[in-house]
Amino acid sequence: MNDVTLILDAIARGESQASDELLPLVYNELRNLATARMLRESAGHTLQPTALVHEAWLRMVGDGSQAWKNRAYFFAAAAEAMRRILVEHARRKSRLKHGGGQQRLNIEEIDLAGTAPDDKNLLVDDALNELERVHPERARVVVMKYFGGMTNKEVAEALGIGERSVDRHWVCAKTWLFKKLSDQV
Amino acid sequence: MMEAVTEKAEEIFYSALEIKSPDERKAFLDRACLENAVLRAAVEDMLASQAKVDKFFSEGGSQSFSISELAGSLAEKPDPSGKEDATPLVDEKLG
Repeated sequence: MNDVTLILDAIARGESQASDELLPLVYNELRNLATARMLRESAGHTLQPTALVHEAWLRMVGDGSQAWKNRAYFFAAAAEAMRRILVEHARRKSRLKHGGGQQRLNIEEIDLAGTAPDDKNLLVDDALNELERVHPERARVVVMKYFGGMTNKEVAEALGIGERSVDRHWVCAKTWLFKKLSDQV
Repeated sequence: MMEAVTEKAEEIFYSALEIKSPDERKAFLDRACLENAVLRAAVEDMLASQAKVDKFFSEGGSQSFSISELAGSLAEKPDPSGKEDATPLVDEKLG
């Protein structure tokens, strides 16, 4: 059994500290995969987060031997890893745009309707940190759907809740986040 | 108190979204909110923002990202915590 399989089994047994070990492994694999794709594909192509996550799953654990619950833990960690990769990328771009300083995005300069994708990722990430404090399950749905590109069905499986609950969390969370951002502008 | 209003408003808002006819939606809101003006305003606010919310979350963002755009970031060492200047890096931590 490889490291990831052992960690997933430990999480499934309720060893919560094992979750902390999973994220960096998945994060690293996703970055490596994205880099490899970047080298083989021509400029202008786009990467789909879901495609990367599925490929990472197949490379790290295979497709037949893992219990469903383990797959769900993996996907949750992968969505969080995607969030960090995209936010890190957006922060770097924002720093370059502002001459290499550590400048934060100025919310007052932003027109929400016409926000560029990278700025949008930074704004959503900030507001999401707040949502995590008041509604953690709803925040997990946003991470999986917005940053991980997962479908309602995949999120429902990962969180062990119904698809309708996922949809309601997603609709209400989007509205909450948008209001939070609009109030700041 | 405010949390209870928010929860109730979200419940009504989510149900109202499924009603497409403006007249039927208005009748539903009349029944669901009764005379509670604060609740009604909160629900109306959420409903009114939907077109913008959907546009904001469906365009660009992280639905997909350009390979060339990501190139510069991926060439550098990652920061697994997502925070500035955090150490150790993933590779070093895993040996």
